[in-house]
Amino acid sequence: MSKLSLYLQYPFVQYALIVGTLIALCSSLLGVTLVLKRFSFIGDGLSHVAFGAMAVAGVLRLSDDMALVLPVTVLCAVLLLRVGQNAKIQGDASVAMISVGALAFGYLLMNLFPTSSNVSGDVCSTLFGSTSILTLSLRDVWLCSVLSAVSVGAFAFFYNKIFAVTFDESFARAAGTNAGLYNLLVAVMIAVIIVLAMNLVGSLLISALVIFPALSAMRVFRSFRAVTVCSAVLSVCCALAGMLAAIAASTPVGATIVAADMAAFAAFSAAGALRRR
Amino acid sequence: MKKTLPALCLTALFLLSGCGGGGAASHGGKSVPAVQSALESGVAAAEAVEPLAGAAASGAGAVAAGEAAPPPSAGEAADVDLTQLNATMIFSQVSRMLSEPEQFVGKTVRMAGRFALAFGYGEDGEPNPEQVYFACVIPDAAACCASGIEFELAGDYRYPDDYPDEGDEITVTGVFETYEEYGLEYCRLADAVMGA
Repeated sequence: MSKLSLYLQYPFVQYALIVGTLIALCSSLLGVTLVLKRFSFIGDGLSHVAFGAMAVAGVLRLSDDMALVLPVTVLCAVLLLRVGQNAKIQGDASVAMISVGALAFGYLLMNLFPTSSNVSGDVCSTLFGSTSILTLSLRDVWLCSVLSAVSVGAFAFFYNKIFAVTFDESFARAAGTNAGLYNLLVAVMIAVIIVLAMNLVGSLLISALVIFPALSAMRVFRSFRAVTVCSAVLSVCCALAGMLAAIAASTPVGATIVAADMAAFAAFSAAGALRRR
Repeated sequence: MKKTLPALCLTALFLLSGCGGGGAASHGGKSVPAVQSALESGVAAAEAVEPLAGAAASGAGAVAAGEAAPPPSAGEAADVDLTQLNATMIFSQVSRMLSEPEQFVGKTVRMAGRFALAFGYGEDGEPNPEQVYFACVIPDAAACCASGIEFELAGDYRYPDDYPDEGDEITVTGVFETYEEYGLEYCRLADAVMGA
């Protein structure tokens, strides 16, 4: 404990806890919508797209890779979520196609045009988020905080519309709701959160951050509101616990957070089973 | 219409903004592992970042600005003692030191790790055996996300006679400084001593 309290005095640890908590909160809110719309793996797909875009940005020597990564990821999110239903290639296949294609393309680019002499280390850190969250600057913290606050605010402001579009898009359209616009908003929010979440858990583990809290909450609660609130609380708790454990035990941050999410899922599954008896 | 306009504004806000960082990957060659990276990662990014209020000046990681310190001795208390931290913290702290070197210039730094070296390149692009760089590298468990800092020993030392074998465990104490070479800024521990 004394070691942990010493570590908590470091600015980069404080930055990591702040940003990690905000990212976990945002991803859990959108995670409920994604799970219910059966787009659980879109987080994985979009994170791989972001990885590929990051590789391209590195090759182009862009000073700020977000200038390319964010728009590309948003565009793919919009295409996947809005076009998937009427496309010749259906939702899960299109996600899989874009996901593996972007991942392979990005890794190929990083090997052909390396930006550092340790490509495997850079790839490992980006894919698994071993220490990315601990290397943020104060500017990063502010930007992430603002985007997270806007995401949470948008979710709260448009809660009823997002609820309607999530459960019955056809009825929502018939009732006069501009479902296309809210699907676009959800797609953009998801893309932004995915790009932020790559700092926390890496590209390969983002799906866990999105899926596990929502599924855990659904083991116990039935209403959309209860599941959303429980998912948010659970995600924040698991992210904090995972980060603190990783910092104290020197384990990869991303994997430790996912392990905490898995433990919570097991606990909530057991609680749900007991409750149903 | 009442909620459509805010939705459109939010969408535009998301598209026009972004969160930088990205950790080690976006730091690219500025962070981590093998000898080349540990040495290349000394290229400092001159970002002026305000230290977060509350950053404590503890014996194992003081970050406050200070005056230039005299050459350290091996047993002297260090301003930044990386030997007290685990691998994850060391990686993060070294990343911070290399991305915000102005916060650490003049401070005594102690670190323990493995001895590594790399040769500079001549104008012909071939390794120059007369130009040797030494570093203390600290790998993580997976040995893919290691970090390290270059050091220059105080006194007249000759390689390989006066240096340990590559891969040997060493403890280095030195004064953090930046220097320029071939138009790029690098970081290292100057006036360094090896020992406990």
